[in-house]
Amino acid sequence: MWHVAEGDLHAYLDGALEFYPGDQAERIRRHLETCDACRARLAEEAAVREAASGVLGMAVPGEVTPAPLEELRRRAAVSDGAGETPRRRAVPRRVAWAWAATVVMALGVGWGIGGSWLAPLGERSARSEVRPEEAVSGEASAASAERDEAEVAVPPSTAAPAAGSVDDRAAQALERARVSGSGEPAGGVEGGDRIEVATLREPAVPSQPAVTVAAIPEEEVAERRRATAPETDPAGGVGPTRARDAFKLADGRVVPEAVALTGQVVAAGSLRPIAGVQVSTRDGSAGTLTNAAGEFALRVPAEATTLVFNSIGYRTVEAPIQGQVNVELEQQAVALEGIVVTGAAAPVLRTRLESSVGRLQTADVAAAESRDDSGRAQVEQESLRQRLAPSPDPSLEKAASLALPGIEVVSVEWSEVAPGEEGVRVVQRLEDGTLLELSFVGVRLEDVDAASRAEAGAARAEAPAPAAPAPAAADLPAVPEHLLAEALPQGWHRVALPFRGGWVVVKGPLPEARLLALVEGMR
Amino acid sequence: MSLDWTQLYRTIFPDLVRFLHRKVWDAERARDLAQECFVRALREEPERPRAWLFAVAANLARDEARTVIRRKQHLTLLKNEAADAVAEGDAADELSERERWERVRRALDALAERDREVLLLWDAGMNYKEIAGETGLALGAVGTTLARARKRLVHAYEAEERAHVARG
Repeated sequence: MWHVAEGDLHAYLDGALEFYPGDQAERIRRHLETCDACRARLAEEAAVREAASGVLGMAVPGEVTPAPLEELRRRAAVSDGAGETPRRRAVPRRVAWAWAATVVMALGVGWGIGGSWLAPLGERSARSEVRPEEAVSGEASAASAERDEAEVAVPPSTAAPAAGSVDDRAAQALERARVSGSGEPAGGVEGGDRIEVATLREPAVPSQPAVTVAAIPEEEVAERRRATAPETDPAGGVGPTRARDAFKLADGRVVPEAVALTGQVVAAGSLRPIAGVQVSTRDGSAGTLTNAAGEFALRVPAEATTLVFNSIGYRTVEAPIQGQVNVELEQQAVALEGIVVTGAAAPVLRTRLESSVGRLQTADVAAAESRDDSGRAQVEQESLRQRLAPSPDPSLEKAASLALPGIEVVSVEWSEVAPGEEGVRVVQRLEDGTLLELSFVGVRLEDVDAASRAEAGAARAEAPAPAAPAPAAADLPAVPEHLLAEALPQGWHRVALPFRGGWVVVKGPLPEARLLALVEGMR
Repeated sequence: MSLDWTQLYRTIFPDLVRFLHRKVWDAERARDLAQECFVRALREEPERPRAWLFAVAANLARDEARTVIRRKQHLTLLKNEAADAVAEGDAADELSERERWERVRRALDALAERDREVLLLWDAGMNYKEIAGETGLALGAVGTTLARARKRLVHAYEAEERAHVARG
């Protein structure tokens, strides 16, 4: 007589028997049906299982808000290819992303500032109320500015107290426009229509009969006003009575029936309200923006079936029209995908091209001084002078172009790059501050110009110049040992490669693969 | 193959945080590590993201534990300060929650490494097959391990409670 093992009892409780091969699961189930002892044990184990879950459940973290996925994508892109894939040039890409992020931030700030700066301006011009039209357009710009601001996802708490909802403000502007334009009905009508342009994106229809154009927006505005600011201004609804259910479409048509909708828009996940979301019917016949609490109230023609919710930074969502339409929007980093800034910094030549002094070896001086022969001394002096004088510009200028493209050049100088070996030493600084030292030995500088750099492939095929030590028989000539003789600081690596008939040695506090990748781009 | 990372992020992230939290005992840190897991996953695009994410999480938590041991003295000091600060306020609930966490933590520490791992993976929503793949256990051994881990956890926690009652 066998009994079910303890572990299998837990597997049974955990619904894991399905993973058991063959008929094991079936045998265990059948046994449990018939064996009282095992059933009793099963009950015990179930209690243990519950208790353990209870213990673990006591230590759950509080609500943790994850960062937007886009941020993680960005991080993934930034650190991509840092070490694993030597062929990829990590540095320029990093630069590009950093720039993109900066630009986006700058834009975001700009929008934010622009919005909050424009809004009071609009209010001022509205209050001065010289002419109804000015007042209206001022208010309209304030409204649209506020919309911009909301779209940059300013937290509702900061956006809210600054001003009431767009609709509310539009309604007030309309009120003012009508009051000040009362002397001339045409102006009032036009003003009323303009407001609708700002909030509902209706085209201006100046040729419409005054009664239609003026009346219905006002009706609608009053309606919305009650919805968005129910506690303020009970007189808002006072006005000529109209057919309550008349509705004017964006194209100016008037349809008899309208449906009043309310709803709220929140962010998926955090469930925070989103302000400034464009809410419109799919055909564009009606629309509004959500207020600071993410709420909206809207009258739509009865024929409309779908509402579209649109906001920068969120995925557009469509929802069927019901009495109460509540929607969750998912975040989407439109801005980052939309704006791609690529930049390659031109090599910044902080060189000593004009003023650098070549290194003078004591031995050289001694050698020069020891010459009696005036002719020889002359020559030696000349060579000394050359080496002491500001470095020979043409060659060093060319030498500067040896630097890795797109990376800041700290210095270019002619110096002893290895014991007994002179060459061009280029120091460059990576974006993160890491300094790289490139030494070029026996490199034919006359080859180095923009044109020959382009055909790097051909240059690679070149045999090492005679100046270079005897190459090994293999395809890649062995690096002369004296170039590798210098001791490296802790954590530094060195890569030496044949280059333009000579050698390039790159040193820096980076893994060899990184160094190789950097030089590879140059060759 | 392109995965719906938005969906994966939404469904797996909480589990991952829960899993990591039982290892690092710091909600913020657990969140950071969970995000780091996703950053790596986005880069690697693994074929079985869930198992992959938990494997990375386990590794990160292990690395974390090593550094934490070094910093433990310091952390303990900081934590005590924080606890004192809380005690001074009237947040009695907060304190008891902290105490409860601490007890669960000690109970979990009483488990063998493998038992704890399996239990936490189960608790984070992985099934037996995934746990087996993750830990290298045979499928049939997962239940046995879980049974043992659960018993020990419950006993250890009860012992902690008794100690607490005895103390105070």
